[in-house]
Amino acid sequence: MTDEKKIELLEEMLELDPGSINASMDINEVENWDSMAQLSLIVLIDEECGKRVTGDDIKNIKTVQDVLDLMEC
Amino acid sequence: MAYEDLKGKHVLVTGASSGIGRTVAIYLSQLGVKVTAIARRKELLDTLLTEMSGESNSVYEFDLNNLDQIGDLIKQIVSEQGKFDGMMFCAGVAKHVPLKMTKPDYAMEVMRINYFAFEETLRCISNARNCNPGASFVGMSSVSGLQGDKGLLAYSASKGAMNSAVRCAAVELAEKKIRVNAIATGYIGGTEIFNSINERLGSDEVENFANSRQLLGIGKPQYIANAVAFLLSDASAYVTGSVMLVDGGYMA
Repeated sequence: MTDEKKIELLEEMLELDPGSINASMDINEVENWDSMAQLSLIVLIDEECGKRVTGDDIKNIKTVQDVLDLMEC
Repeated sequence: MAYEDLKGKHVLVTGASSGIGRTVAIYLSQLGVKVTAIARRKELLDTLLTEMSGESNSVYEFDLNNLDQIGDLIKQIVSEQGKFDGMMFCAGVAKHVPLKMTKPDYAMEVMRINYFAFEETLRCISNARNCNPGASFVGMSSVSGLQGDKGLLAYSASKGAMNSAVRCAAVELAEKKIRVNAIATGYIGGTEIFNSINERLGSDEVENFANSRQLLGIGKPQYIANAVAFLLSDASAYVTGSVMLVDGGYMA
């Protein structure tokens, strides 16, 4: 999956307008990044990649790039 | 020994290969129940068979997601093991999934095993050809069927459906002298459901949550097994259509 596609999925998941986030952003700058969004990301990665991500993996996320790396199938 | 009347009774335990179902199967066998255990994983069932007390128990490998084959399975078990006097339905799945990610496929998956498989098993086993008068059937439910929580929409709906089905079935089956109840529990440690939720939320999160919400701490499968023995035995002869809280005070 391309980074563009991943960001598109993330923005949709976070209920943000297209263009709201980019790879270099600190995760805490991302709007709507809360515990339910984190759970949603686990489900999203499971659905898109069939990959099992844990709550502990999510806690280690510092930037949007970290999320994109986790979304690598 | 307590629950003398359970001796020799034939009880179906589903979801018996692990967690609460496994503990229930072993405990019932220790009380003298003839247990028929069904689950998906053959090797775990074979181990369970060696762990149960008594010689009359049996195990059947079966995936309850195959709803249209449940009737044939019950028929087969009855012809091989005799009619049932009770059931403890423990099969089920749980994951934390927020509403926005609760798409039809996932919701169907949860409803299928947690609710439809329960309903179909209850429908088939409560047929007079398959059970004796005085039978008692119990569904493994949850406080989630009674109270909302983040990320548990499909699971809560499935348990709410089970609770409602139990009440209706109790009314319909009362004249056949069949009792139907559910047990609503909270977080029970060491179960696959608990572990998968723990993995998803991150270490300690569930434990901290459960310990703060459940007055008596995280539960043990044996606490449920004790309640199952009560609901299957004549000790609960006056109890039907109930959703019994065994939740460590979660709902208090």
